[in-house]
Amino acid sequence: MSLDEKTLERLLIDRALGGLSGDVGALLDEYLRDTPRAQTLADEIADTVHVAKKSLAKPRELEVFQPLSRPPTPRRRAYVLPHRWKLFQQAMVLGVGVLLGLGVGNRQYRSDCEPTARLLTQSFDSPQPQPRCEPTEIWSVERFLQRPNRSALGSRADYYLDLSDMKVKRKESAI
Amino acid sequence: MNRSYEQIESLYVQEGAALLGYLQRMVGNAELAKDLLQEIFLVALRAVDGKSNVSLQRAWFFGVGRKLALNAIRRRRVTLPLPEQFGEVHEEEDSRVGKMRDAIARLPAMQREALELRLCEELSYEEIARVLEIPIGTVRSRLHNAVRRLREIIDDAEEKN
Repeated sequence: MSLDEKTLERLLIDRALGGLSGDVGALLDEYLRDTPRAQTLADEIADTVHVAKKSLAKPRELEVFQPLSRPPTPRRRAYVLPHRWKLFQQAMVLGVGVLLGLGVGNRQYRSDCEPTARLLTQSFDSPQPQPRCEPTEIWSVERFLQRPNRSALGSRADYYLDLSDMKVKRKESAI
Repeated sequence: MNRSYEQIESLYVQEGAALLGYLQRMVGNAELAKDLLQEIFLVALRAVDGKSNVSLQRAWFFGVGRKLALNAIRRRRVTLPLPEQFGEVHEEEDSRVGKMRDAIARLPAMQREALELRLCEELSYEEIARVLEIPIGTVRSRLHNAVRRLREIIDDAEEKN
């Protein structure tokens, strides 16, 4: 078997570059054992490729290439729960404050007015004006209704005013 | 985690250094090479998210890296460095290494690129063909011509000495 110069060179370059399949490589090795001249050429080409590979060395910094580590995933519970707990605490404090305020205001209002006891002492002949409880709170309905310009109070205020008048009339008729 | 993401992550660990070296050799700037490396994997993640039919193989990453590097060179007018700027010169090293660096620097760019992909990145002929988007026969002929040319340059230099 004989190979022409160009074909042999191509095969030897592929062999040196590692691009030759196993079967072809085995056949070429056999040929080289029988042909010393071809073996010399093969050695020269292999040496050229070897030196070329050495000369294309990678920069040193690439040898210490460190892939990026995965950043730690944030623990959502650690952040969300205290925040919610704080909001809950604030809401609770606000709620307790409102309840206390309503309770104290209501108790004070009731202690100031005692209509039934006074009504019993009144005579039939001389109807006295109904004792009205003096409002103690700033934001009381009673104080709101005592304002002179009734028409300006609005429909809801009129309703309450009518309601209180009706109550008074009903009590008078009962007596 | 999605299997494709795992594949990308493992490729980053395995091929990160090789890709970085390839990019650095192309653009000649370590920082720019690192940016481009990140960009390659961003492209890969977008490709996976977009469900495009991408085969996430080694050659695909080198192909994307090559395009990004060429774009960067065009945009930023990066000058291609000579290989001797990168290789570590050891005094006890073979004296022919320096001559070989000169010889490689004098190779046509297309031949040098194919040779670097084969010798440095150890890509197969098929992978080089995919990266450079050329037929495998062209890869083979470029490599043959490159080695032949190197031998000629080295022989000429030795004859002159």
